[in-house]
Amino acid sequence: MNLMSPPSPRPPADPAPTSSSLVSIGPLGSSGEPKSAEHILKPCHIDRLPTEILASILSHLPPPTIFLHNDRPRLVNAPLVISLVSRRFHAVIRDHLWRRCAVDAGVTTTSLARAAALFPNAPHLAQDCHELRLFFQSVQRTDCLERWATWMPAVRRLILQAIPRFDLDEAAHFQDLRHLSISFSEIVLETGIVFPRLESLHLGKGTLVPRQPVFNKSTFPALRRIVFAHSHIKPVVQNEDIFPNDFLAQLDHVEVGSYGADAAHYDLLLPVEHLVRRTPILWRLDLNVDPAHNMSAFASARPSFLHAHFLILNPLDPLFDQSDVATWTERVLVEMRIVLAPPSHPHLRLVLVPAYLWYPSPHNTTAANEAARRAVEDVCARRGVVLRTYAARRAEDAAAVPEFLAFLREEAARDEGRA
Amino acid sequence: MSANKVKLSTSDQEEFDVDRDVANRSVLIKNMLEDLGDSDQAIPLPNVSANVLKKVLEWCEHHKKDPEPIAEDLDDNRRKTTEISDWDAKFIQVDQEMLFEIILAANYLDIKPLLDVGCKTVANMIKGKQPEEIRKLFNIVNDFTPEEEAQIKKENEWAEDR
Repeated sequence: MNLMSPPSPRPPADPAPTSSSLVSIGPLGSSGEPKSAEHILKPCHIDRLPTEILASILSHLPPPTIFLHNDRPRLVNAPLVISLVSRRFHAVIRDHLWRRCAVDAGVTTTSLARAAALFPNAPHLAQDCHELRLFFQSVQRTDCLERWATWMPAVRRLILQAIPRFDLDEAAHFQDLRHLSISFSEIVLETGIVFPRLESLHLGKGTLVPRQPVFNKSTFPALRRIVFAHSHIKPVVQNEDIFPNDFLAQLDHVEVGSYGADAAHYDLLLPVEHLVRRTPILWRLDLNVDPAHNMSAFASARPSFLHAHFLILNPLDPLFDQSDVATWTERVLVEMRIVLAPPSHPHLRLVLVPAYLWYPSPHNTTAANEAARRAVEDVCARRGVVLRTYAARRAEDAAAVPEFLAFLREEAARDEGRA
Repeated sequence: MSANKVKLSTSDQEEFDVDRDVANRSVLIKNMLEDLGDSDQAIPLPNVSANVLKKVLEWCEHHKKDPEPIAEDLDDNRRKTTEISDWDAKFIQVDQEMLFEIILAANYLDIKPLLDVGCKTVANMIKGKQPEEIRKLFNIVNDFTPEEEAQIKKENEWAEDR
């Protein structure tokens, strides 16, 4: 053995605190209270972190959101608190935090007036804010998007809710757009415009009205993911015209969401057989375990999922009080086992379940829940299906399910290893 | 040395014999091993002391079978959470000095999921606290002049914080 260092372990040296880990005596705090000697002499370990790690820590704090629905803008999770800690914190917040901020607004005349008054006084917000959520309350005012794009030119994530009718062209005013989510809307696609950076498109509870084949590489050169959640397409043109082959080839995956009963739509909507061969589809199945919900309708719709290789099981939120959470959890777990029981989904390779159902908490550690969890794990193990957890996100935000992409990468790496 | 074992040498000259799949959790070590090929030489880790490496290896041992960490969606950074698994939460219950040592070591050794656990833990300590409480918790000195402080407050006046 040729070793650089002596082979026998030595006891660890007791590292003397370096001068950089001690806080120098600074001016008095804003409160005017003098610092105690102990406070000054205690080492400040957080000071030893490089700026990028401090930024990473602060990026885990809840992101600020500015609501423009009331007379005065309301700021939730204000970065001011962190800014006031010290000069260093202030600098990190200034350079990193505003990008995580979202503006949440309506489109009424008063909402627009509020926005017009706000942006000249909040330059950080106007220049850096990456996310805009607009709630249209069924008011047809898409002409305002051009103004919003002028106020907030840095927007990358645009989330539009409840527009009666939306022409996709309107979103092109935002030139740096990466993610677009439209829900509760009739979406008209007759654009000749290019979305040069758009990576993901989420259509929720809407209807697509394609006037001509628009899902093509020239309109969406950067698009990698499409999510259809409870949406359908008015079959004005043939399916193969809506999704040309070269367009499908550029996608990482397609996600299709369904309550179950409306799953039949997708057989009309997507040339499914075609997609399965070329583009991975993640089927999102919303589980409604409200006893009032008719589960037999769900069961009868299951054949649509015969093609599924990848399934994400998403329980709809419980609407009752916390004391019922244990019962609700058990119902969800039992429903999951029923959904996964053979012979359904013969091609299934991956099932994703919400992490919170698997992490122990005061609500879900009952014996019944333990047994139900085991049953879900067993049915997957027997079928050779990989069962994994995913971090729950809001549907309209979640253009990508990173856990799914990770699984696809692992499979690809394995296939490469075999070849 | 066995092909399945790796020798690591710390800043305070202590040596650790580690299973290769455990050591591979560190992208730094993994890359070094790939570059070195089969070598008996200990890998020097001049930025990590023995007591910290011991703790880091405990984490690597527990997580050696984890799938590859998930690449972050850069445009989705509003969606970061502070959820930590039970085992990790117990693991990271250490004093502040050790907590920041682990974070620095995870950064140096390039163990992204461990760095994340550390960052989330510190974020959880900060969450919901007032500036003075945060300063006290981490012994941070308020280095603002009263004028600077007033200026920052003024710049944020346009919004009501609730």
